[in-house]
Amino acid sequence: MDIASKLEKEVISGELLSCLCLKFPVFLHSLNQSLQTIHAYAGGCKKRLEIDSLNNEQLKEVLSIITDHVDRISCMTDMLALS
Amino acid sequence: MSGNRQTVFIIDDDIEVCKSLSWLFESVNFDVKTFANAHLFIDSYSSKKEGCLIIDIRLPAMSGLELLDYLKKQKNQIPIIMMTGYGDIALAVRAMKAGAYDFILKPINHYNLLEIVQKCMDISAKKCLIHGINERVERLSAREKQVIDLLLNGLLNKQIACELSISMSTVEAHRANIMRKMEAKNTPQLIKLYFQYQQDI
Repeated sequence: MDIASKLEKEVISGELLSCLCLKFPVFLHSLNQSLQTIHAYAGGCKKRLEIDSLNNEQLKEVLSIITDHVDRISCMTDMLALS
Repeated sequence: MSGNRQTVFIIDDDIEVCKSLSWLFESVNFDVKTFANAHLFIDSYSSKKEGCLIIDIRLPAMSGLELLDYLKKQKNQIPIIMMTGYGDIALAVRAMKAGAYDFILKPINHYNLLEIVQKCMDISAKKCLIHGINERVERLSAREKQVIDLLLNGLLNKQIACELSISMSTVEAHRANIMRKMEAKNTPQLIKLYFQYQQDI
């Protein structure tokens, strides 16, 4: 790779890194929101199971929501890996 | 029975967080009310309701800290838990100095969150009790307060009558009014309520 191409690559990497640093707080916030949601749903299921107050329909619905959030987190981490 | 349940008020513009926290708190028998912003909460909140408040620090229009300041100026005593997904320590310090009971970083373990909320509910219950007692004492007339003070000093009706230069029947009438206004079933309960009031002041 010649010097010009190498420099160009470094500039692009630097810009990407700078962009990433600016967007990182937003990324972190979205990640924490999804993790909080998962934690609360799981905690609620656990409490309901302790008093035998969770039916299959409720469990299915909550698991679906948790799965959606896991998929969302997975997308976010994929984006991070690609950048 | 839901009228007797304590309420967790949640203010967060993320509807998924609100729904998930509702799911959690309803599983331990709390009532839950959620709001997308501070103004919606202010418009519907009644300070007579026992409970605690969970606020996301970053809200649209009026921030969590601005709401905290507003409630403080209103002399609202509801215990407040500030919440954030950013890990902003400076904001955490400001929130605690502004009177928040606790500050939590998302994601928080549900055991820890329930423990913090339960402590807030205990504080709220005690404050509501004290507020209730204060309201009852405020119903008493100046003379009735004199009678109750003498009663708590161990004076008998005859002695109270002599001290205040009134008749025994008047003392008895005052005592009956005091019991009714203080919502006390008997003298020991009356004494307990009035002592709690005196400790609070």
